[in-house]
Order: sequence, then structure tokens, then C-alpha cells
Amino acid sequence: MALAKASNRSPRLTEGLNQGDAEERRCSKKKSKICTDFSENSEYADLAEKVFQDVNAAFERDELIDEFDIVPVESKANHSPVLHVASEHKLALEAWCVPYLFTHSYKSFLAVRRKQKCSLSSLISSTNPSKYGSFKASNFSESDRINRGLVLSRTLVLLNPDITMAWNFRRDFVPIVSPAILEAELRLVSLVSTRKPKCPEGFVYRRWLINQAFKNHLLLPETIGEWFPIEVKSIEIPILKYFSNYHAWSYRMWLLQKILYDQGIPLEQKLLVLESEVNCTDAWMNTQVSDYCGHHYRHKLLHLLQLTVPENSSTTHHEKFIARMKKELDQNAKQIELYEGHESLWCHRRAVMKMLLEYLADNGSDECNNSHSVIIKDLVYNEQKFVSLIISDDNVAENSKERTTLNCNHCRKYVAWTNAQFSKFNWQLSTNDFNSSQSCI
Amino acid sequence: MVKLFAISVIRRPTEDPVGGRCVTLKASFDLASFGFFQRASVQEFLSFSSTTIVERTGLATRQSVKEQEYLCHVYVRGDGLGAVLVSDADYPPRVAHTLLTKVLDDVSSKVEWKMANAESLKNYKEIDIVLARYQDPKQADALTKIQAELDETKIIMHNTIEAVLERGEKLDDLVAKSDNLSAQSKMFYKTAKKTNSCCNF
Repeated sequence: MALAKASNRSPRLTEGLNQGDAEERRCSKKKSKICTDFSENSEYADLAEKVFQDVNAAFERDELIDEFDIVPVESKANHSPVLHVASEHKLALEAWCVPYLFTHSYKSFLAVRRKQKCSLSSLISSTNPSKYGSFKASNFSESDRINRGLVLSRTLVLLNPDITMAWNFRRDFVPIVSPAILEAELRLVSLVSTRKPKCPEGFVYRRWLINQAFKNHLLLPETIGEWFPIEVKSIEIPILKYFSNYHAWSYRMWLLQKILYDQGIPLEQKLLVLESEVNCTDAWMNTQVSDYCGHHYRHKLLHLLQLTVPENSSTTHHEKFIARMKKELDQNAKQIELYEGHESLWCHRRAVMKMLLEYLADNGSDECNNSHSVIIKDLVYNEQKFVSLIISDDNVAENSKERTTLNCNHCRKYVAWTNAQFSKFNWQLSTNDFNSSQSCI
Repeated sequence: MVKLFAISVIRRPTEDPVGGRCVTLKASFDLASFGFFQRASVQEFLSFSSTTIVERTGLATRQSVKEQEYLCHVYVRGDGLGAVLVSDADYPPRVAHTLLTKVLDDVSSKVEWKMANAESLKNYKEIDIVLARYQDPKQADALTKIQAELDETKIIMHNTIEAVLERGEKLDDLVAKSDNLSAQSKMFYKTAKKTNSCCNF
């Protein structure tokens, strides 16, 4: 069971040439010596170039590759370490080849970058081109060099998505001018996130791509119903792969806000997008009970729902919003009963309750005031019922005692917090039995 | 995430209460959340852990073993029929044990399990249905009768898989010795162990 974590926490290939410390350590002593001798030994450069070409060939054969991984296997047979399952669109590298491949691509990539800055002549003198396999500086034209830089940067970000330089190269030289290019780039970011779901650079690049696409009119407001669900779907993979994936959730929030604050998008479209996000996270909330990033997103989503008022229907919006919040509290109560002892559920309850009460206080115009006090009274009654139910659980169920006690503790904290926060609403919960506390209300 | 990964039904010999060869009668897996290239190894390890734990569970005993972010629930009945369910840490343990009872009741009522082997249970599909259906633990609300019985039973909790092993046994050795794990899975185990530990130099 231990191995399942390997994908999430596989060693990070940080810091350029010193890459893959852990990866290298895993190699035998002999191999790591070879690694350090790498720069002097063109034999390994040829090998790495061969692997590099194999990776590129796989990408050329199959544009739809949707998963990349590095698998720890002992190499015995003399075959290519590139594993490509074309029918399933999966690509993997055998772990032993990664240090060679990374060092080679990183060096070649640096050479390409350097050339960009210097003139051609000074470059030939500064590097020895024969060292990097087929990369011959002298017979490289400008476009060839850029193409080579692009495929190198692709391999680099796959192996180590933290190299900002590689992403920047793509920013400089991939013109986001057609839907096909945009799609290919988005697909690359998604592919990177299958192995490193929590990589911030990927999401930053994704943001840049979306901004460019907006600027170049590739993502049109009219077709928002088509591209928005696709984008959300691709962001759900890293969300599911890594627990509480902050970068993924904040990207999702960014995307949503970008759409909501865009002047060119009509209000009906924005409401549709919001509605689809609420429905989408509704289903998600059922299965996620301790992902606080997701709960935070949901909280902000409800807040945005409150702020986005459709024209000419403020009263129905008002009622709809209150109903939505009550439903949220109901769902949350059911989850707290079923999944005992999850603090994030209780925190979400606090957030929702606070938002609802503050909303009621802010929108308390004179004629509604009466109905508001009824709503609040009703809320307190239900809350007291719920709290008493949780607390009374404390002395049953021998087997899950630990969790039940934890749940009760969370509940007591929740009661204390609400009593302190909402005192101005005449809010007074007690942790006694339901029947005895009835008299207090 | 609330998730079930595997349910397996395992026959444990009654004569020799400690150790003995266990036979996996039927197993069902949901490995969609693992990487494509890891699935085969994950499956091998789930089977391996399931059998290892059943071998070390006494007759008429319920256990729950926590290992990293996974929970492994075991129930071995008095007559030697056992079942193991592997879930993630968020899945309610109470529901998990309810499901184990349900699965075993179903197997013993429908199949001649005492003589059976994996081959003869090939057409028994009930477990796959259970695994798919109860991914959502709310579905188990209907099984209140079993849940009521369960509250009177003691469930032994362990915080690591090592706690279940007998004295002197080590998980690393068991993995190295096992015939049921392929070389690649063993390699996976080693790598995962290294990358999961905090400091290794």
C-alpha cells in the first residue's frame, strides 16, 4: 500500500544540473559516477539523445497522450526506456534513464537559450556542439533552433515542471493564435499535472494561456458554454489526484472570477456558469469531507452567488439565495453525522452560517425585518436540534468512540463560536439535551 | 476523498489458527484513481496486504488497520470465511464493517465456499456490485439491521500494518519473500518506501 504515494511524492528534480538527487541515489554507485562524468562522455549524450528522440516520436505518433509517469523498474533487456501505450494514450519513462535524459535536455536547452542571446559566431566558440548528439550549432537555422527549444522544453517540464525558464521559452515562442495550438498547450499542462498535480508553474502557465486566448479572441463569450466545462473538467484531474490541491482550486477560482468580472460577457451567461459550478461542486462535496481547499472554494462560490443579482428579480433572488444556504446547511449536517470528526466540515458550517446571518443583517430593510427575525428564530431552533443530536451521540457506539468524541469536541467549539459571533442576533445555543434546552430559547 | 479500493473474500483454515495458507476466493478492485502504470502493482499489493492481514486475524474477529492514508478492515468469521475491505481514511469504518458482514452473508448463502477456489467463483459477481454501489456510504443506510448487531461487536484497531504482524516479523521481509509479488511491484515498494520517508541519505 505504501507505493501508492510514489506518484505524488516522487523525488522532485529540482535545481537544474543537480537534478534528481534522490533519483540518482537510487541508481547504483557505478551509475551515479557515470552521471557525474556525463559532461565529458559523449557516449551517454548519444544515449540520452536517443531516448529524447523516442519521447518526441511518441508525442508525434500520439497527440492525445493524457498521462505521464516515471516507473521504477530494473532495466535488464536492452530496449528503449520509453513506454508508450498508444491504445490508452499513456506515456512513461523507466526511472533509470531520467538522470541522463534530464541532464542532456537541460544542457541542450541552455545552449539553445544562450544562442538566442549571443550572436551565432560567439556561440560556436563558447560551446562544443558535437557534445550534444545531433545538435550541431553550425547548421541550425533560427526556426530549427526554436523548434528544438520547444521540444526540449516539453521534455524538461515533463520531468521537472518547476523550471520556469522552460515555461518562459514556450511563452516566447508558442504563438497562441489558433484554437489547435491553444488546445495542444492546454493538453501539455494537463499532462504535466498528471505526474505533478500540485505544480504551481503549470497553473501559472495555464492562466497565461487563457489570458492570451482572451486577447486573441480564441475563447469567445458566446461559446462559453462549450469551453468552460472542458476547462473545469481538466482541472478536476489534479484536484482528485492531490488532496487539498491549493494551486488547482485557486486556478479554478481565478477562472471563475475572470468570467464574472469580464465586461464583455452577458449577465445571463455568468449566471449559467455560476449555476453549473454550484451543481458541479454539489456532487463533489458528497464525496470529499476533509478537503478544506474545496470547501473554501465552495464558500467563495456561494458568496459570488449572493453578489451576482439578476436584473429585475431581486426579491426572488433573495428568497432563492436563502433557500440555497439552508440546503447547504442541511447537506452539511447530514455529512457531519455520517463522517464523524472531520473538522473541515465544521469549519464550512461556520462559514456558511456566518455568511447567511450577515446577509440577513445587511438586507434587513424595514418591511422584511419581521420575516428575517422569523428566519433567524427558525435557524436557531434547527441548529439547537442538530447540536443536541450530535452531543447525545457521545455515549453510544463503542467502536467508533474516538471519532465520536472528536465530533462532539468540534461541536462544542462550534457552539461556543456561534454564541460569541452571533450574540447580536439573540443567538444562544446550549450543549445540553434538546428537551431541557428548549426552555432556554 | 471517500473511496473504496478493494474488497476480497478469503478462506482461512480453521484447524491451524495461526498462520496457514489462505485462499483468495474472490477479489474486486477499483483502481481508477491510481496512475495507469501503477495499477498492476497496486493491485498486487492490495491482494498481498489483504492475505497477510487475514492470516494474522483470529477466528471470529474484526480488525481495522490504518496504514498511511489507507484503512484496511477485516472480518473473519468463526467458520474461517473472511473478508477484507480497503478504503481511504475518510470512509466511515462503521459502514465498512457493515459491508463486510453483508458480503460474507451473501457469499455463504449463495456459494459452496468451503470447497471453492478462485476458479470456481469466477461467475460470482456480487462483490463487484457492492464495490461500485457503496462508493457512496449513504447507500448503506438501508443496512440498519447489520449495523445494530455491529454495535455489540468489538473491533480491534491498529495504527500500522506492522502492529498486526507477529513478533519478529517485518513487512520488508514478507514483501521480499512473497511469491505473489512481481519484481516490478517489489521495486515499486522500495521506491515508495524511500520517497515516503522523511529523510534518507
